[in-house]
Amino acid sequence: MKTLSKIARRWLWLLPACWLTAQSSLAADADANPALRIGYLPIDANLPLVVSFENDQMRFQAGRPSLHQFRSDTAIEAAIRVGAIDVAAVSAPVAYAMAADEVPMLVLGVCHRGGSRLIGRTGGRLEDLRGKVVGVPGLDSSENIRLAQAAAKVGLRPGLDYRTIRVPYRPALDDLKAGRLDAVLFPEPLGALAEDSALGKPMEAGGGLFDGALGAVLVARKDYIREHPEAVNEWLKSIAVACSFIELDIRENGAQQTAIFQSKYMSVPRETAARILAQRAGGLRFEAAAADRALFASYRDTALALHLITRSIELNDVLNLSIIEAALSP
Amino acid sequence: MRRRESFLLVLAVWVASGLSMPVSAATTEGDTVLIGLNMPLSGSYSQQGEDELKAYKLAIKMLNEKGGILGKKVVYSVKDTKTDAAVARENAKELLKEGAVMLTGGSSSAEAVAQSEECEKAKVVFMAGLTHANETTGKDAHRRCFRWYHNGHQSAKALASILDEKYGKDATYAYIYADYIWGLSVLNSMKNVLEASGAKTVLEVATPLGKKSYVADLLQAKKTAPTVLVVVQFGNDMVNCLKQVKQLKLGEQMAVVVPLMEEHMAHSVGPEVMQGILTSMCWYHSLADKYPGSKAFVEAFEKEYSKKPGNAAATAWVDIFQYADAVERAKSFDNVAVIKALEGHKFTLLLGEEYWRDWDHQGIHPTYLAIGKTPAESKNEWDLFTIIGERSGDELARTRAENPVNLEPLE
Repeated sequence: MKTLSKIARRWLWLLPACWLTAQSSLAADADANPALRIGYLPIDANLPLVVSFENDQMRFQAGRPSLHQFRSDTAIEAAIRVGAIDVAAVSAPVAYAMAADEVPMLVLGVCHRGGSRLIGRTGGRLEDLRGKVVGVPGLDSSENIRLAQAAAKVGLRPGLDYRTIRVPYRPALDDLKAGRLDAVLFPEPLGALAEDSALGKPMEAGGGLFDGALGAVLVARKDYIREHPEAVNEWLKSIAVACSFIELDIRENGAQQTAIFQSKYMSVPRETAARILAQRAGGLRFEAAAADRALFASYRDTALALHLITRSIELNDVLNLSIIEAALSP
Repeated sequence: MRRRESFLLVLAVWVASGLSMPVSAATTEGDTVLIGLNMPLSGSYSQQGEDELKAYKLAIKMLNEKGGILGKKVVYSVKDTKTDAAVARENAKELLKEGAVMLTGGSSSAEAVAQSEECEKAKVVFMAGLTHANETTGKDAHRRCFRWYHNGHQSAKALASILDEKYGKDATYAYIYADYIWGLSVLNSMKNVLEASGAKTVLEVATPLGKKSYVADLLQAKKTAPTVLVVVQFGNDMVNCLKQVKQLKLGEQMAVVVPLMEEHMAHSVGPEVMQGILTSMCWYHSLADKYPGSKAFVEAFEKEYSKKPGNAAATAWVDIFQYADAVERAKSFDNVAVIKALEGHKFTLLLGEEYWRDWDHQGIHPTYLAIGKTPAESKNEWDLFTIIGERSGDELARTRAENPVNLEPLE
């Protein structure tokens, strides 16, 4: 019985993925344009995917976009593996882990920088994490990598001077409240929730721990890129326009329009969504770009050092920045 | 090891944390104003809803490029009515809670009437989108609702003149109609007008929204051998019904009339099915050849979406720009001031001079009679109709005696 339960737990995620694949196949028959199934997480960093869909879904000509929300990077990874989605945004280290596992996908570029915040029970500075326990959304998350990189600069070693543990979101807040966690580092809007609920205060981290940091990366299945390059190109162009749209909306409208989209697709109250964007929580910026290889390399190296990926990967095997460069060229 | 947990729990946490949505109505504080867009993006009338949404977004984008309304940028919230009046009503309530200064949408008269009721209660202006039932500006009219789209009475009166001429006053008519407020409204209008001139009704078949097969209904109509088969269906329902009319070759045995046409329905079936079908419309893209306002609209729409707009888009276009114009003239977003600015207002936008009738809030402008082109006549996928006649709005609109509506007092 235990074995059965274990098997069920391990493979249950395949059911929705297979269902999604079947549904998408049926839909694909109905139209000549290929389906473009987009996976996203309900976090601020993925807003360009949502805004692109909202603004351009009726304009796409090379593909038929559909948005699919997932609960975790792991679920997105599973969907990519079984071909249930075609493109997505995932945490950078997860993309490396997929590449290390020879999943046929490519990293195309980025659509944001920053957007995660370190919230401590009583605030404080990065140095104050010595001997403390920090909750992160996953050990293979960009947050964990970035924390390790930033902590190293103030002489803190992960696992020795501070410890990170993977915690589900809500328990993280409960744990923070109960003192089982000393701090959390999560993508927005989760940090704002901790603040609004008076569970913690932002920690000072040398001008912003996550400012300019690599968070989620845009990925696509290799076979999809090969078979439908126009659809990928169109999507990336739309993402780029969406990034500009969000930035303009932040500057001119206090992010009100983007907040309406976010409340619709991510169930975040409008006022909170607008505040996070207007305040650029976690140094959040939106721009579609190839991103520099050095940054990708540094994440890969840190992930290796932390044993989050089991073997080194050639960046050329996982990065294909020429696709986004071509899409962004005038 | 590599699990990253449940981001969807965010929602539950937000809700649990007691952070509620803003509840104030018609919020005009701040640098933006919210307009609620509430139309079917799924269900039988989804194509028309999508056409409306495209025009709404484009109009709002153009407004914002010129500085918004009274210096405030316009933001919008989109909701899908699912071609269901109950959903439309709940959506409207949510949009009003979110603080919309104006709601617009429709594509089904039942949806429009439901939204209109909620807007009246909340004292927020409702610019009805595609709604053709007489009731929207008739027995279900409200002081805060304005409807540009023409109505069933206008269609019936416009069509009657040509039907009388073509098929004689003693022609027989069979009706297959959508069984809800709009279908009944158009059925009654057609019957009233045609029977008054001597025509006889030989069959009335009510069909539910979303019906897939009309074969049994059409065979019933065939047995009565009418002079004219009137298909009072809309959206995907009309598309399905007309396809089956074609399959049964009924067009060879009787004339087929579709009282209300919208471009996307015809586009779905093409000229092979639409050829020879007589219909009425409040606007068609070929009017761009005659009116500068239509030309500007069609060009902007085509540039944005690489396709022609239908009349659902046209009404959405008028709704946004007329509301904005009224607010600018009133120098206020206050609903009473905006209503005063709209009532009786004459304007030129897509057509020649037209106006909002003050006592029932019906937009008064011409109704066009059109006939489906043959495949040989059709020059491209959107070139589907020839306008064969035009009847003036004042000539077709109901009189006060025909529409004894009493709108609520303003204050």
